[in-house]
Amino acid sequence: MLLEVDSIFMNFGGIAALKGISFSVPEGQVVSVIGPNGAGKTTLFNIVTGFQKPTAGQVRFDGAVVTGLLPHAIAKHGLIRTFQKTEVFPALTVMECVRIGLLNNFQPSLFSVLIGKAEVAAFVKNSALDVAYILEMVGLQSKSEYLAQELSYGEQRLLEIAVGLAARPRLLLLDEPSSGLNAEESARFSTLVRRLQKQKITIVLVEHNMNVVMGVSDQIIVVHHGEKIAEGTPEAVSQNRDVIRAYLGREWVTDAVG
Amino acid sequence: MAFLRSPDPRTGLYLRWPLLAGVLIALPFIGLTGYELHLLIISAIFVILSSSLSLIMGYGGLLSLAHAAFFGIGAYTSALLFMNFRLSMWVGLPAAGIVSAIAAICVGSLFLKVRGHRFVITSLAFVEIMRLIAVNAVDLTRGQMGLPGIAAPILTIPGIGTIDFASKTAFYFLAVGGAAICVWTVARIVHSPIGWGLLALRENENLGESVGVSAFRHAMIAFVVGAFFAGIAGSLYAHYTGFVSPDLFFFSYTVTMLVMVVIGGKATILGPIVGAIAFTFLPEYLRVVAQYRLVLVGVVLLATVLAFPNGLVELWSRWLRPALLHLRTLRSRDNAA
Repeated sequence: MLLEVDSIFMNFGGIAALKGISFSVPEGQVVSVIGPNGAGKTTLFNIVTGFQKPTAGQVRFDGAVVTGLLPHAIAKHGLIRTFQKTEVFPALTVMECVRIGLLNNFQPSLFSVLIGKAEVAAFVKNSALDVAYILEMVGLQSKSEYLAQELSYGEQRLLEIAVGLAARPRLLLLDEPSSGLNAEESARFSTLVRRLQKQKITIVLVEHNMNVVMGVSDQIIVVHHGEKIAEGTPEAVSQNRDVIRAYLGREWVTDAVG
Repeated sequence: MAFLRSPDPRTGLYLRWPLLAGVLIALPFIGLTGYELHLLIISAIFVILSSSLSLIMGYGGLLSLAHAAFFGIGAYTSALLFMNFRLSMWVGLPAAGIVSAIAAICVGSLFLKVRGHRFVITSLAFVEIMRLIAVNAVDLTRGQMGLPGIAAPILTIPGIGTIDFASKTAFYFLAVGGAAICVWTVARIVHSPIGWGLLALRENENLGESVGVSAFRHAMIAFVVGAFFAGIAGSLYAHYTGFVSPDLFFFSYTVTMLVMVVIGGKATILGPIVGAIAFTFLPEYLRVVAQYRLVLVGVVLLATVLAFPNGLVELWSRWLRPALLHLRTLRSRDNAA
């Protein structure tokens, strides 16, 4: 298992946002975490990537415990996330934004920068090619000189993924990547996810768009009120009584499942 | 050193460095008055301060009001080494930089954990604490009386003779040399992967962290390198003016440095240089209008901020450069016709 989330509890004051969630993500799969608003999905993401500390529980990545590490230290393991509210570096060009993602692989010391070590120069030189390759992959190659803040919302979402890809993720956690995208952009996004999967990047997706979820997921985990209520293949989950009840209410269960 | 030859991406500006070096070397010999030479030396010292502050504030986005503290720490380090141990500036200058840098590591490991307003206020508090120490630790600093009589260094080169840096011309080269090293170092850092990390810190700290850019590490590098050069500037100031007092920690010094960075153009290499020179000469030359001087400085300041929100370097990028390009296209069209 690449990612193991082991009975995570999270309390905010007296409110229990997560009540002992456990799941694991095998290498190379696309796993979606779904659930109604307020189910605790984003909190779960924040805990896995070190932005919040859980009240109890453990996160292991490739066997190593990462709970308690700072976000940048977790990123170094190859565990990279995007944010629910789109995050970019607004006043930088697209090229400069993606270049920052490359820093996950190499950060020279002040000394080696000042004396001008060859490896620093080589990294800077190669970065242009790496950035061009990644922008090509997400389809932003024609925008590389634009400022991030000049891009449309959908393009900013793609840019955020590009920044994450530059960090060479082994596992990419995408928090509602297709929210706010139009139908065409969503379809483009689904294609991108499948391309990433072919490149052996494991993906965990928090998503409300069921077309995307059903289209790309190998496995779905359903979270409701801070608990895991179901997991399985898209077909199995869509037939699950508890899931239908959580989403649509009790009276729909008999009608839908029959 | 490709970054010195390539144009600045924001302004399209690049310097013809050999030409600039030639001008700087020739300046003291074209018949400037002692007063003008004095202003050039002060400018050079402020170029060190504003360039190093721009690394922290312009690139790293950390509005540090503590820069005057490191300037003062450097000045006092140099002065105390001279007064108590008769150590010349050749020891005092590096010592001032190192002591300031160590002070920055100590306070930075506390301050740099907080951001935004809290960082601004803590950094301001630090300057005030340093001022109170300078005023009240009378046994060490002589309090408000200050430390007078700090001599400029003398350099003896075997076979050539001695250079006494008490002469303004000699000290000019020392100060400009210091400024050049500072600007070079800042340029080198901001055009390196460390500079990319600083921009990440300024633009979006969380996103940077999520792709492995430690905000604390980058903030610390900028803060310590900045403090090192502020200390160097302090030492140069102490040995040039020969006098150090708690006034060095006044808020007005901090404001002067901030104004130079913002007016010149933060997050550019050239901006803080332009700002430092402009705001050293301008208040002096406005002395002719006597009591209206500071009013006029204020008016110029406001007008500049309104006309060029991104600093005086915009004068080039928004006005002169487009005009030049336009002229060039017109001329080539004429030639074709």
